[in-house]
Amino acid sequence: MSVLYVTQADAVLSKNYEAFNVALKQSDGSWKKQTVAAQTVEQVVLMGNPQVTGDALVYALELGMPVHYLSSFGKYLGSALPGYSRNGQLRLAQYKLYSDPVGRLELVKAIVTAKIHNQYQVLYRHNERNNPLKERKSLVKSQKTIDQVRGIEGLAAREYFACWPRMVGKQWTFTGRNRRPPTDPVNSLLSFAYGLLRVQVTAAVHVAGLDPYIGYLHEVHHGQPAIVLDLMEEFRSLIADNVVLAVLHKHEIQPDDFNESLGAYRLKDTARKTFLQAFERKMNDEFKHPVFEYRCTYRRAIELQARLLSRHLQEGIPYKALALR
Amino acid sequence: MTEDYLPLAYLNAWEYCPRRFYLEYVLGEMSDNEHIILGRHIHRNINEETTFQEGETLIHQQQWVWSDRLKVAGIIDAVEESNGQLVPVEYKKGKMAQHLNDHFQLCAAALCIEERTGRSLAYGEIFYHTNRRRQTVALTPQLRQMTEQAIAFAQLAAQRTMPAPIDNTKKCLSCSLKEICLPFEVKQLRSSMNPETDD
Repeated sequence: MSVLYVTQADAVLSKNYEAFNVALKQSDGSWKKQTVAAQTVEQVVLMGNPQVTGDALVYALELGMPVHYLSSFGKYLGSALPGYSRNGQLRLAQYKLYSDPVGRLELVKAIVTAKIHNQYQVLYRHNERNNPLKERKSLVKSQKTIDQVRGIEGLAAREYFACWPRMVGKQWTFTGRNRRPPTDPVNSLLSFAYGLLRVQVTAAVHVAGLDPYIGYLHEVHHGQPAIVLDLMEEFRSLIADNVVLAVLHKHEIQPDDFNESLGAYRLKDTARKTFLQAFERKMNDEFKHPVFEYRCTYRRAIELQARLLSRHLQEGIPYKALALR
Repeated sequence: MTEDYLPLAYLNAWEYCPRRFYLEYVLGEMSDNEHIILGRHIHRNINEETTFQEGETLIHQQQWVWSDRLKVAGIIDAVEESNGQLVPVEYKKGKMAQHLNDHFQLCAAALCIEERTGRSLAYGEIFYHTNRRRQTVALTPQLRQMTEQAIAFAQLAAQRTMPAPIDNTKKCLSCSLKEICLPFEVKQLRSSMNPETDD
């Protein structure tokens, strides 16, 4: 299964029998048409604002396929969702844990522990052995409040990104994580990757029937989708950071692949396509699941974690955040 | 009036697996596949409630049936009337096997018809689409009793907490809800729990 990305603003997505048609405008004014069999697609992601026919949108929803809208910067705008889960009891369980300080702290610790673990693994793979992340990870367990856990998380994140300048390679300058807007190419890649990851986690949250806006590690405020951000934490370094490091190491993206405006950087169109392909490759990568021992793609792992979190909320089975060796 | 009545279709799920019944009926879960199949099915043959004559037989299609005594309701694919006999008919897309759950659904529909009409039914029929076989199901006292018992148990289970996954690997592997239910994962994570948190 795959994700159909339409990234050209003047593209037209339509439907023909059991297939999607994507018409792309060429520089000479002609249209190039591509056909994608609907059975091979499980989600549609539209970037910029391509045209979608009513037929295509309804067909996607009928097949249980969400259609996500992103700005041309890759910022998540919203989705058209099929009527998946109508599990109201799950939402009640989700709200209940929000006001249960003990259970909530437990879950937050599981998430942050796995997050730091996965960050440490990224560093370790790139021969960054001299860092305090292991100690930070073991500190999480003994914290008494969610704020204290957040403190450890922030500390670990700074120490983690402090190792990045050595990992990104000599042709890139990176002086730490920044966003809104990202003021260097590497940060703009990270933001883009997190945006793509957020789309996938959002879809999984909806599929599982969770309420996107009630979470545990992230505060319920400013309209942020707290549970989406919570579930993203264990995957940030596993998926997004690794994709960014991979395209930099393989020189798939070059410094001249960016447009700069007033100090904010964004990818040019061709490079954006390259990056999307790299991200999709990663999503379809298989690994052996550390708990269940079956082969599992990252795409499936995201949905699995959303469903396992649902089982945790409704049935009290322990939540094991995904931590890879 | 009948909105709280147990839909007959869920009797099938109940006989297959109590957890599946709970996920579908109580929690409203449905797998994508079923959405698609259901949607296509509804679009393809819009079976309206009709009555027509075929030879000596009067066929009532898509009849809405319910029982106030048993608190069940549903739609029976057809009721055939000939020689003063009413025969409920269910169409199944699978092939014929000793599926008790199909029998329960048919028998429950028959009990509804008996309650509505005051007549008594002797047998029903199930038509299996895959191998084009018609199976006659006698509405014996045992089947009636088992059907009523299944209805009572299912209604009780709907009031309780979610049942644990069943121990039937074969059933679980071919269940369309396995990605939602996660039977193997849930069992494994449960067994890793401390026994003291057992409630």
